[in-house]
Amino acid sequence: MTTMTLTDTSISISVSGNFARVPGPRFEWQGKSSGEEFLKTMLMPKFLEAEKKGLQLIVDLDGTEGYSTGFLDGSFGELARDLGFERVMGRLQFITNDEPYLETEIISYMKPK
Amino acid sequence: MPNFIKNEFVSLIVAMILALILGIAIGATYKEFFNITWKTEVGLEALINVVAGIAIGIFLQHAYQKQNENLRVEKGIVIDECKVSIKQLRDIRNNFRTCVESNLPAKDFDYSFVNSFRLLSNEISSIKDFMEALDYPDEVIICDEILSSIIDYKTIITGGPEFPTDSYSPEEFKSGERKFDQINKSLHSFLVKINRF
Repeated sequence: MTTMTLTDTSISISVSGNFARVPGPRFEWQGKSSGEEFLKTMLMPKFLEAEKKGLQLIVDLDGTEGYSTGFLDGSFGELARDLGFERVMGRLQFITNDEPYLETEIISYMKPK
Repeated sequence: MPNFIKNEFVSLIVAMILALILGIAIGATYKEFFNITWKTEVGLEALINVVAGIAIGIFLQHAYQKQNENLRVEKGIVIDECKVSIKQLRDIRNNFRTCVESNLPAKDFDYSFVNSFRLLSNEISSIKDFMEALDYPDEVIICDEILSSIIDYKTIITGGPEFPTDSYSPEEFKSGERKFDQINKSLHSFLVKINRF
């Protein structure tokens, strides 16, 4: 199943549809569907594509079994540390109906400490 | 002392004071009552006044009762959600302790942790939305503080560089226990506060 979509204003990716229904640990060596793998294969390439086209990147986080801090920090946290918090937040949107507080949680990992 | 007993006690004291004042006032002038002469006819105006007075009285009492009933129902919902949250928090803590005490890798518990944290933060988010809708800004702030502590607790348990391949270090265990105590206390204080509404 794929739910990656492109509109005039945004690119959308779904973690459960395009990556894994059971997101894994932080690093690739720790197991499958890690945050590191998600960053390398999906999040970073799609973010850069969205930036190049002047579009928003919408990440749909619904439909999974839940996220460990390691996965979220290893993907979204790393993205913000690599590219800068302001740059990333200006282009990233979330869909988090299953877990409304997840967006605040992710932003807390992305903010510079 | 439970609130309803306190309310009953206060009502009783107020009723006694009123009865005392009334008794003193009437006691001093009760003979005058026998000298009152009533008019033989009651005017329409007076009748309308009496009926309108009774209608307003009934309406106010009904509105007050309804408001009280709504508050009781809302309070019950929040108390139930608080109890579920405390149970979720204890489940996380019990798994954490088992994992550390048995020296097992967190891998045996990782999805149980992730799922329990999800349920816990959803419960508190739901209480927060409810408090927002009922316009209780102080309680909304408390919910935000609890949610923030839950993120810290989740980070200790599922965010370490060795999670979920290894077990937890003694330092991680101590930090986790401290955070559990903090959230547990906050949830119990919140429960007591809601119970006093």
